[in-house]
Amino acid sequence: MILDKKILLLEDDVVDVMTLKRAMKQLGISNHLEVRENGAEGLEYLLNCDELPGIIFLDINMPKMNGIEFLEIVKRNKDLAKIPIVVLTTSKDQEDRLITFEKGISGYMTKPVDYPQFKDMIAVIMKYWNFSEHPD
Amino acid sequence: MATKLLYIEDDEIDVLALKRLLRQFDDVELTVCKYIKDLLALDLSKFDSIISDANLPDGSFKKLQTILPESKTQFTSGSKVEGVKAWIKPISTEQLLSILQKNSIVDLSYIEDLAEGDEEYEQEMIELALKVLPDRLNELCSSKNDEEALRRAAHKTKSSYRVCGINNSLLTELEGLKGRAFNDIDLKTSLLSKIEEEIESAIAELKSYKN
Repeated sequence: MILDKKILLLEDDVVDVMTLKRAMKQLGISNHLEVRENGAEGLEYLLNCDELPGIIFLDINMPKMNGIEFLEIVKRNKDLAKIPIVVLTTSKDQEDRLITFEKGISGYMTKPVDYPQFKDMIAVIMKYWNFSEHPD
Repeated sequence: MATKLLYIEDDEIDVLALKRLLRQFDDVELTVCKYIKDLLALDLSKFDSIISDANLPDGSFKKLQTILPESKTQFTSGSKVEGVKAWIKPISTEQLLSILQKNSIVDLSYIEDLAEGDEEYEQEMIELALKVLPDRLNELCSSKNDEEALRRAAHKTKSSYRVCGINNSLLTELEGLKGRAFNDIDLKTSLLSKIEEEIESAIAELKSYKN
């Protein structure tokens, strides 16, 4: 069980950060959410934190270092490579999907247009990785 | 064709105030109704929009809710009433504008789902959208000469659109401009100008939802 592990969210859009925080609260997921605005900041966090996060939610389109560049570096680092990374994106680009899977992501979620679907999606992810005992 | 607006209000001063506001708008045909008994005699399907006081002398909010079509009714109230999503009177020009706009741009369903009845949170999200949308528009305009930057800005704006329930087809088109299409100044300018109009209308509408 990784119920007490931190969750790292790499997302530069404040609206999306608020949405994930809200979904977690409504699902009763109390894990600490660490937010960084781009891949470079995320990497810096991972290399300097006391305890690695249990999962990383990754946006693709970010300034400075995008999600794909971040993924490449993380998956080459033996200490970080095992952290499950789930892409959370608005992009429906098949190329993004293929590239990120090739680089070793654990899941690829396209943000749905309605919130209940988004919340369900987060519930499934969290249940799968044992972040939540009762995601419903 | 004139917009048919039904105003259900028993307070003469509020009716006068609305009539005064309506002077700013062309082509609005106003019908005023004071009592539920009169309301029942009307064919509500003929009205494009309805503004109704949450409490009438001969009927409560609950009764009005059963009579009025939810999709085109906006309630008003003199003060905040628990469980009632109503504008606090007096009605502002921006609120009236949002009612009279036949093609509403914003759909608050996403924010309402997020809020789960928490009005404070709903207002917080509306505030956030009002803060973010002008930034996104600036970003789009300032990156219009850089293909990759414009694509990124259009993509990023989609999140704000999604939360505000705005149709993102123009943004998708802008995001997809590549090579030759990107260098088509007329096409790009036209798309950006439509998006600017869209965002400005959305901002006006969102302001009308603010308490």
